Amino acid sequence: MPEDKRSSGSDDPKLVRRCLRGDRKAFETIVLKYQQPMLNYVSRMVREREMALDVSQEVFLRAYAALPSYRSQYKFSTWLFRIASNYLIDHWRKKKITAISLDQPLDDTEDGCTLQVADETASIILEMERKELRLRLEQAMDRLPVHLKELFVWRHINGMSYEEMAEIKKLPVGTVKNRVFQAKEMMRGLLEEMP
Amino acid sequence: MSCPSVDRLYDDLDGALTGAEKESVERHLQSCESCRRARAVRGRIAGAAADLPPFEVPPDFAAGVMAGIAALPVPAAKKLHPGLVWTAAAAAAAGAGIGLGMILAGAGSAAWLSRNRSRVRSPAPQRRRLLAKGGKLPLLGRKNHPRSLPRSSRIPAIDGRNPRAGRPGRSHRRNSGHLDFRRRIPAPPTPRFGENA
Repeated sequence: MPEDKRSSGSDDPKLVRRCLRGDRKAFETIVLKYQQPMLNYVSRMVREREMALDVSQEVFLRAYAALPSYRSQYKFSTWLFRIASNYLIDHWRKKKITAISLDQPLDDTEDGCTLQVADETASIILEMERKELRLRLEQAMDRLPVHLKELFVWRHINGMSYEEMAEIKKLPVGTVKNRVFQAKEMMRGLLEEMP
Repeated sequence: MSCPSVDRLYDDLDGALTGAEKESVERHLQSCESCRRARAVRGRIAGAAADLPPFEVPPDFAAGVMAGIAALPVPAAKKLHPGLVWTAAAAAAAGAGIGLGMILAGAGSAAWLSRNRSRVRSPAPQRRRLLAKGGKLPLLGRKNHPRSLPRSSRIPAIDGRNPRAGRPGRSHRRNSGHLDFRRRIPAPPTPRFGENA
C-alpha cells in the first residue's frame, strides 16, 4: 500500500505534551488528523454510519482521558488504533455481536454506511462496474470473521504495515502476515462464490 | 521453474520481493498462464479494496469530539492522594524494619553457631553416609528406640558378645534390640554316654 495514505506522526508526541499542559486546541489538531483513518476503519467494522460516528467519538474521548498513559517512544497512531480495537471488542461483547457466519445469506440492500463517491467523468458502464465491484467487496468483507476483517481493513484501507498491525494487536509479525493472507484468500473465495 | 506459492504472488503485488526474486517470478509468469491469472485476480481485489471510497466525515465531527472533551478534566499525570502516600511510606518503613530484624537475627544465629560449634552434634557416620546417598533416615521415635523396648525382649549377652551390637551397615531395626533369628545361638554341648553331667 502506498505510504502516502498515512499521515506523518512525528509531531504527535509534542501535541500530546501540549494537551497534557491543558492545551485543548492541540487535541483538536490530533482529532482532525486522525478522524479520517479512524472513521474509515470503524465504519467498515460496524457498518452503520451513525454508530461509526458514535464509536469514533467515544474512541477519541477515551484517548484524551488516557493521554497520560501514552509513551512517546511508540507511534501515536498505533496507540490510538489499539484503543479503538479494544473498544470495538468490548462493544461487541456487550452487544453480543459475534463474527458474522459464513453461512449467513448476503444482504443485498445497500444500506448502512453510505460511502459517498466523487463523481467520475468516465463512462456510465465503467462507473457501474466499479460500483458493483465495491458493493461486492463490501459484502464479502462483511462476511469475514471479525479478527480477519480488522486486519484486512487496516492493511488495504488504512494502508498499515504488518509491523504496525502487529504492534497494535500485540502479535508476532508472522502471525499478522498469515492472518492477512487468510483474509485475502477468504475474500477471493467469497467474491468468486458470488453470482 | 515450479509455480510460485500464492504467498509469493501476494508479496510480488505488495512489492515485497527483492530484485532477483521479482525477476524470477516475472519470468515464470510469462510462461505460466494459470499463475498469471491467479496473480491478476488477487491484484484486482487488492486494488479494488485500496480504491474503496473513504468515509465521508461530517464537517462538525471534530467539534462534536471537542464538545465532549470540554466536559472532561484536563488529563495530567496522576498525583497520589496524601493519605495513600502516608500509607505507602508506613508500609515501606514496616517492610524495612522486618528486613533489618531478619538480618540481625541471622547474624546472631551465625555468631552463636560459630561460638558453639563444638556443642552442635553432627550426624553419626552411618547416618551421614545414608544422607550422602540420598536415602531417608529411619525414624528414631520412641517406639523404635532400643531403650523403650521391654527388658524381656532384649537379647541377653552370649559368649560375652553383645547381640545388640549389629554389624556396621545394617538397618537400625537390626541394631535396635529386636530378636534376630538369623543370628545362630550355639546349642549347649550334649553330654556323651558315660560322661558325668
